[in-house]
Amino acid sequence: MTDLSELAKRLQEQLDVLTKHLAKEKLPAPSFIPSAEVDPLNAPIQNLPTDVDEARKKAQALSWSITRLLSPPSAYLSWTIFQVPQQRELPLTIVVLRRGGPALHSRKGHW
Amino acid sequence: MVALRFILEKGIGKIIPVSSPGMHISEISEKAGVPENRLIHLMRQLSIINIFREPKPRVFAHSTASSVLASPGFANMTDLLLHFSDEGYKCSGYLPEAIDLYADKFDKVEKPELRTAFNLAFNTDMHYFDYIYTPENIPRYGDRFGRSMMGGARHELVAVTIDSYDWTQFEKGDKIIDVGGGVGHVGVWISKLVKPGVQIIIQDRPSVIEQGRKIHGHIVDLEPHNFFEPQPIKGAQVYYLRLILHDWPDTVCKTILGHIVEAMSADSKLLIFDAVWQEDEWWGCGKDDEDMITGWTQSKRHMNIRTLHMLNKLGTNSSPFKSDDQALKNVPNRSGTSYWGVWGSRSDRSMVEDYGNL
Repeated sequence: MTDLSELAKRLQEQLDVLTKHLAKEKLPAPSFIPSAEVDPLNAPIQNLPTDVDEARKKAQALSWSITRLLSPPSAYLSWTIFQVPQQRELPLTIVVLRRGGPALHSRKGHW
Repeated sequence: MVALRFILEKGIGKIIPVSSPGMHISEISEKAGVPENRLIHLMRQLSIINIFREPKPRVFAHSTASSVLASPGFANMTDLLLHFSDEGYKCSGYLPEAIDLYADKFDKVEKPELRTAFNLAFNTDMHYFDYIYTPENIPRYGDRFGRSMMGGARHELVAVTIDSYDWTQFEKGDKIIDVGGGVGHVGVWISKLVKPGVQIIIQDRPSVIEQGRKIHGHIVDLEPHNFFEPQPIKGAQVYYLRLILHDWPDTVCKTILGHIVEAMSADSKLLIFDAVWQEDEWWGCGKDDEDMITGWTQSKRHMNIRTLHMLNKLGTNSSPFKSDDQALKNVPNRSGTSYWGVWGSRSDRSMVEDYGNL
């Protein structure tokens, strides 16, 4: 059995190593949004000192593990087929159409 | 995988400016020549995993990951991604059938390299390399493979292994032969590390040499040679094989190395860059939760996916080396003692030198 809170603490410790390094070197934090200041082929996250890069890899392993442990086993297995990260909440809207007529009913929810 | 291949082939990454806050799917569709009602699903499939993003409905912009596709420096890596997502992905779909049909017969057939998922997927009796280098397939597959290997070299940080070796030991007039050296991208790297006057000669198929001369012909010499035939350059200082032996079964490796051994003089060196296979102890992972969390490394993932790729395409695993201390047990070195030196490891790759008669 895994203590998820303990895993999260370990993750935080590794991220602290990374964020302190970025702050110390005045490097931008990683982002999903491209920036004119960061060459995506030479991003700060891929040019880290050995110890900081080790912390980055450990953080990845821990966050992946947390994601997977938080996934119901059947959902994890099923969504692997579709290659969709299952931590995303996908809004679910089911609309049942009556042939030739308006929607019979709809339902909103989450996977 | 399919969505990524599609947007790579259509150059979608270059259609959307990196600085753009977003481009409507209708405009992307028009510029790419792809129906909008198909493209949008592929774009959304990639956006879900942060390759592109959809900041407004039906409007797509680059993410940091997709912005790489617009960079000229990534061009050869795009070819590598296409190699995996096109031939690689098609082949992998037939692996179960290939295993059912051939797996228990591998030790009995004369040419196991022609009993692969690739042969089933592409409905051909030809070897993968013969297939991609037929005249009609060179433009799509052959040339792309050559470029993709340049991209792969960048991906694997070739410098880490090449730089670990002392290339300054060779003198003016010495010859370094890169056997099966593709378009010469690694030979060019070596040429920066040797003394002036050391000759770097790249050998490969005629069509590859033709492609390579256009790219690197001003830096290194490129000469056509089939490594299944006797090595024409005798007594060179170095015969270098980079990621060649993992493409072939042991019996074929013996033929390739046999021709080189015949050409070697007492002073010649044989250098092999390839994966050094890890024993089961290294692979084991999962005795408890902690082992599962920390045990799976990038090296393991890389070596295993490479193994499956080679198995699908060529019917081999990703390494001719069984382990460090049993290296090349199944192929001849000069002394026949199977004693090899390992230089500069990077991840799961190493460069191995035949120490000969120590």
